Amino acid sequence: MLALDVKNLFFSYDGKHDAVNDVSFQVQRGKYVSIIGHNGSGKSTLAKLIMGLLSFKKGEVKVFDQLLTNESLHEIRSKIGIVFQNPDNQFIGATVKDDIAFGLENRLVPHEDMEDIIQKFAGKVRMKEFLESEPANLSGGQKQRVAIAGILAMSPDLVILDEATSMLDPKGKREVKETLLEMRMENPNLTILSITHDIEEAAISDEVIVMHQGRIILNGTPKEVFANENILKEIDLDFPFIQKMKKALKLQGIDVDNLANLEELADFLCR
Amino acid sequence: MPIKYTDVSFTYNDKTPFSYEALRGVNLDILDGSFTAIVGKTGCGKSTLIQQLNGLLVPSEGEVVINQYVVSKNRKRRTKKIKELRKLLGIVFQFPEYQLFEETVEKDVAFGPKNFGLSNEDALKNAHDALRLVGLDDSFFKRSPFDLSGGERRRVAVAGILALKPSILVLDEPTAGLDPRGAREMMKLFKGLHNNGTTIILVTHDMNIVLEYSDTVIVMEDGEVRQITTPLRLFNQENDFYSLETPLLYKFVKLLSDQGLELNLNEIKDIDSLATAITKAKGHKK
Repeated sequence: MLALDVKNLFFSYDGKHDAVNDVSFQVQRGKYVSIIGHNGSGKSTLAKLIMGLLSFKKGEVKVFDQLLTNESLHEIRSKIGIVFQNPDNQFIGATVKDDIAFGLENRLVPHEDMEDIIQKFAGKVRMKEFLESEPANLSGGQKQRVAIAGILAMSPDLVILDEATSMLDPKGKREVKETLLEMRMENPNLTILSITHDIEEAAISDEVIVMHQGRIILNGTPKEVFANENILKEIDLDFPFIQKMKKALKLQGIDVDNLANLEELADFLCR
Repeated sequence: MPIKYTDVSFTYNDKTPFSYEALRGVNLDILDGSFTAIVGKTGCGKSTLIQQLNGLLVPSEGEVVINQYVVSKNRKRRTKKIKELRKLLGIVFQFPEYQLFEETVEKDVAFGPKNFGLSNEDALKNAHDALRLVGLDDSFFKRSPFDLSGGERRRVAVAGILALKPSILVLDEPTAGLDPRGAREMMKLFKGLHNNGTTIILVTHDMNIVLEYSDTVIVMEDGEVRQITTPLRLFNQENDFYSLETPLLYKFVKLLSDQGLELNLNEIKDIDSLATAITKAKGHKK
């Protein structure tokens, strides 16, 4: 089943040039897909179009086989959860508990069920001891984890992360990533679309989409995408560490093309 | 010795119920011409530490000496010439682009030099030089800072400090929130200034930057200085304790050393030098 089916999508902010320019792609249910590209390449605009936060000029978006229209907007949004970049911009409640409850109230979840759901998801992001805490007393990583708990509590089928970890310190980044991995283990049907600058995250995704000037210029598995060295170099995007390492070794006459990860590479080099 | 912290403690809201001790007994020397990185968890006192440097915050106890200037509570010791100190040592704060206020880019950058007594003409000349240095050409001079992208605004803010031609430049997370290309360009700029003799003090969470650019690392935790070391030595130890992320390069080096490949760590600074070191080590084996 397709989680996302986007066809020939166009969008322009100023009516002059297209911020999203003829974009088409598909995402299978249960996949972890990274979208990479420089600032201004149209990544976040694309996410907002899928959510119906912006309305597109031309093209079509299907979310879990349902066409995105004014009528279906509400139902489609109920299937998508989005986490934005700045943890301070998405904390709505006065306490962690209120914040997670906010989404549930909007979904008309009965009050007697809420407590259990809140406990469950606060536990999942390891924020149970903080349920009564105010946002001012939380770190950025903790706030982002609350945002994720709030989103997951509404059991979305598709989660969009819009640079959700880029404002966090290394520990916060790691916490958020670990939380997501756990969520995926628990629900293999959960589809994740992650807009990111983190090339190492992209390298371990199921698929990578590269955007440049409003267009998708590459789309495929990390291996396929990062093999296009010339194209990526031309737009000045970085490569995963292992690929750069292999290339530097090759220049020294050590050919390690067929090794997939750092452990294999280390084994080979130490043999 | 341009910078010396002696027994520096700092308490926010001292003598109130909200008092909070952010620095405790800090002793520290920062050498002339060094590229020093300050690392540690959010809230460990990094930003408080650097704000003592130009008298924006004054130590509750102890003193900071920067060349001949003294920042201290002690009336006899402390410098009266705080303005001179602020010309010598420029601080770029976190997200400095929010501090822009003038109607054109050049006016914003010239504001500092003018404040330090330069004529309008000289201030504008300084501003133009600084803007070119950060990679903004003449076409930007007359534009409104508010029409620029986030990355461009950040450069304008940095130019505002560079226009004062400080010999010590202090940067609080200058690459936070920039995309990787923007971050690379920003770091290149600082490296260029460092090569020309500017002392750089940099607060960062990005350990790849620490490894690639700095020669000295100060590790802070709970308001105290835990270590003063080099990037090499720092990443050779377990860093989970300080919540630091070891760069992938060093994780890989560790993986190799653990399996018995003998690498000369002093030769490793980036991927190419590591590849050379690996080749050498393998050669020795045979």
